[in-house]
Amino acid sequence: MSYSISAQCIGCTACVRVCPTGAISGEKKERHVIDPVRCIECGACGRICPKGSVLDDRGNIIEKVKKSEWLKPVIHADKCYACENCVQACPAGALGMLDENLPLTENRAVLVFPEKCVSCGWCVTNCMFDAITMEVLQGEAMS
Amino acid sequence: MNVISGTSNKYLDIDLSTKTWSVYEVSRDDLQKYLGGKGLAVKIFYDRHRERLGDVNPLGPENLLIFSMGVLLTTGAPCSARFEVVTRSPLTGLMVGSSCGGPFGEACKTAGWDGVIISGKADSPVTVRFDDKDVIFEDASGIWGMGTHHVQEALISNPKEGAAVIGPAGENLVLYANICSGHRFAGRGGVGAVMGAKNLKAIVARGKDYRCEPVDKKMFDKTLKRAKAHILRNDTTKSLRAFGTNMNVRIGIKHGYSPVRNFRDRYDERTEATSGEAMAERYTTRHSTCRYCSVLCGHKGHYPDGKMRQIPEYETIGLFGSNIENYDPDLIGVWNDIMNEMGMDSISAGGTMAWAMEAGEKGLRPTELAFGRTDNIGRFLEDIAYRRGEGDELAEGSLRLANKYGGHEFAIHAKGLEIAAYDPRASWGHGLSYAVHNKGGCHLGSYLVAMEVLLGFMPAFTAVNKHQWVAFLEDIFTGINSLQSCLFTSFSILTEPVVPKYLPKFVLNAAMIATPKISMFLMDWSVYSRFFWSITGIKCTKWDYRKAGERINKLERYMNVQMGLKPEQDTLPDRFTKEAKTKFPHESVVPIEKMVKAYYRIRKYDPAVAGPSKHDLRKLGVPV
Repeated sequence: MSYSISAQCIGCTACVRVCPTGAISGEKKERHVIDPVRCIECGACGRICPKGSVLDDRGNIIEKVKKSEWLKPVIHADKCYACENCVQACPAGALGMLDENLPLTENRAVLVFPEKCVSCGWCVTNCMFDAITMEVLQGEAMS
Repeated sequence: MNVISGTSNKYLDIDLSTKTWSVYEVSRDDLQKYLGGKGLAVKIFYDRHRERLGDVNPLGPENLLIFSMGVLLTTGAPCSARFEVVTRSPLTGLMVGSSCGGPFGEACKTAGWDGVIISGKADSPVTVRFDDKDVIFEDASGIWGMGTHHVQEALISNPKEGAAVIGPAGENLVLYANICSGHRFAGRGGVGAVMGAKNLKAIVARGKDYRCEPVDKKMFDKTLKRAKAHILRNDTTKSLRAFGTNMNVRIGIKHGYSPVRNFRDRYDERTEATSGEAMAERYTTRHSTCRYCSVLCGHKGHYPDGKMRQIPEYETIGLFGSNIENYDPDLIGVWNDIMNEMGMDSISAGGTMAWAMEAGEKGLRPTELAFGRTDNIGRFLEDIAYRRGEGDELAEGSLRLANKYGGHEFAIHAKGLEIAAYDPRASWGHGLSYAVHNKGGCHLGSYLVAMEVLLGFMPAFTAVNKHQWVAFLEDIFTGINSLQSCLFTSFSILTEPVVPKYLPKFVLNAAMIATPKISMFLMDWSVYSRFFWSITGIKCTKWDYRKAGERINKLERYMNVQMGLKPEQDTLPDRFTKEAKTKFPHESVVPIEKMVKAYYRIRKYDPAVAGPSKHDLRKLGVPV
């Protein structure tokens, strides 16, 4: 039940660059296709698409969201137990641990590569400690 | 994403002989009576083989290998990423259920399947892949022989997928081979050998197409809040989180339950080197857990050779540490890696090797294995997995070796399943727990060592009313294994409510032994029953939940009797019942006979057959 790309596609390749699993392929300026085996239905392709050409598994068009307004995980240090489950779950490799040399109880997960984050929210569903919220990051956090 | 309200109640029914599949629908009545997970799998096995349970060859095509997901899985309940593997064990010849916290469970359930029933036997190595719509049978000759982690890397191309695989030990029918998913294992009773005998190298589920939502969201959220609060503030959880299951090592040294030299000594001060506290510091440990875990007992650590390894669990540490006179934790880490890659149970492997060492010492059987000798253990583990040389015999487990060479008195097993790393002479109730558990010498039947020693809720050296607690906790734990939560949640769920938490210890000790029924009445395990109730919408009070546990246990016991279980198998090795003198100052032997008799009485088992009557089963609603 993967996502698909409609005939609206102009082949701008924006989705190819943002897809965390390399599921999208196609020639420049031609309609692209999503490999259903690789697609994880994160919806990043739809959010980046300037033409609204990406359809979800029910055939609904995914709305474009300005990249600076994508929701990204904010990990609250006081609630994080450094279990690493969000890091394991992240399909984009955007999360990591603060410092491997810290004592276990002082370590925590951090958004190491905000630019890699595709806003899929898998980290939130995998956190058992309610330590992650999805928010629009401000300039400072982004850097 | 599609939403399933409650559970899908659909099992994928795969026949490997014909490479065909169908859908098995679970009735609402069965779900209510057996709770899902282990309970439902046992019932499915019973329904299929009811008339010929004794004729099922564990390694034959007729044996069923059932992967069964619980109702909790993927709902967001804490510590719920678990699934159960149920089959007839080649090691004990009895029913076995082994629980695993790997990613296969989540993938299978979110593909819309509550479980997978595997029957038959493929002609050649095969991998089964399935999603919500279809099952594909792939040739596995190219990956046959691969280790558990390599094969998962080769098979999984997408984070939506999860696999359950075997290693070389399973392929070569080592009787205690296990099944691996992620870095977690369904460890005990040789479930991997059953998979190997079916020529099934791996089963890969592609999930995340469905989401399971509780029927009664309000009750679920309330229960979830309570469960999380209990788990987070509990002291045992905190110890497990800091030091993993190896927090048991220091307590074992203090109370004399460490396994030392094939359980001869009960004590050695050098065991401290392998304690959770020492290893946490030595390896600067990190968490490495099951998904959806809130206890966080699993750890990994930086080893001196620069590798990041999974820290072995307490059982592995005990049986490959003090039990074979090795006090170097680095070595155990390396051996643990070998066993994980080969896919074999470290408790049975360690127990069997310790038996061989003692048998060698006593001149019963020539061997290169010896207590304190560590240079050849790694090679031996591979020899067992590939059934080379002496390893071929060791792959059969300690009971079969003792049958051949003698030495039953120091073959540390119950019903053929090697006993875990708690010496029952320090915890009598735990001894009864080993002796009567349907699966054999598994510590997780009722885990009374927790009540007697770890938590100090009842005196360890009395047989009075221990049978009541073993039966009670067996029912509760079987329920947990059927909902499929983690057994470690029981530390907090059972002890955080007001009565056990704030009652002075001496009052608690007296009450639990003198008036067990009142104590049980005052205990509160309704978190578990309410999870079931809110997710499925089927009414389940804490007493219904306990009744379901009893039903599953008694059905499993009935099946075991059909499979050849004899009353004399409900016992412990002579070492625990006759050898009082050890290096530990306190002398004790387990009065197992009278405890087992009392247990039969409370379970209403006929002492001549060691199982329930048909009348009793009918009263519980089991069709016989």
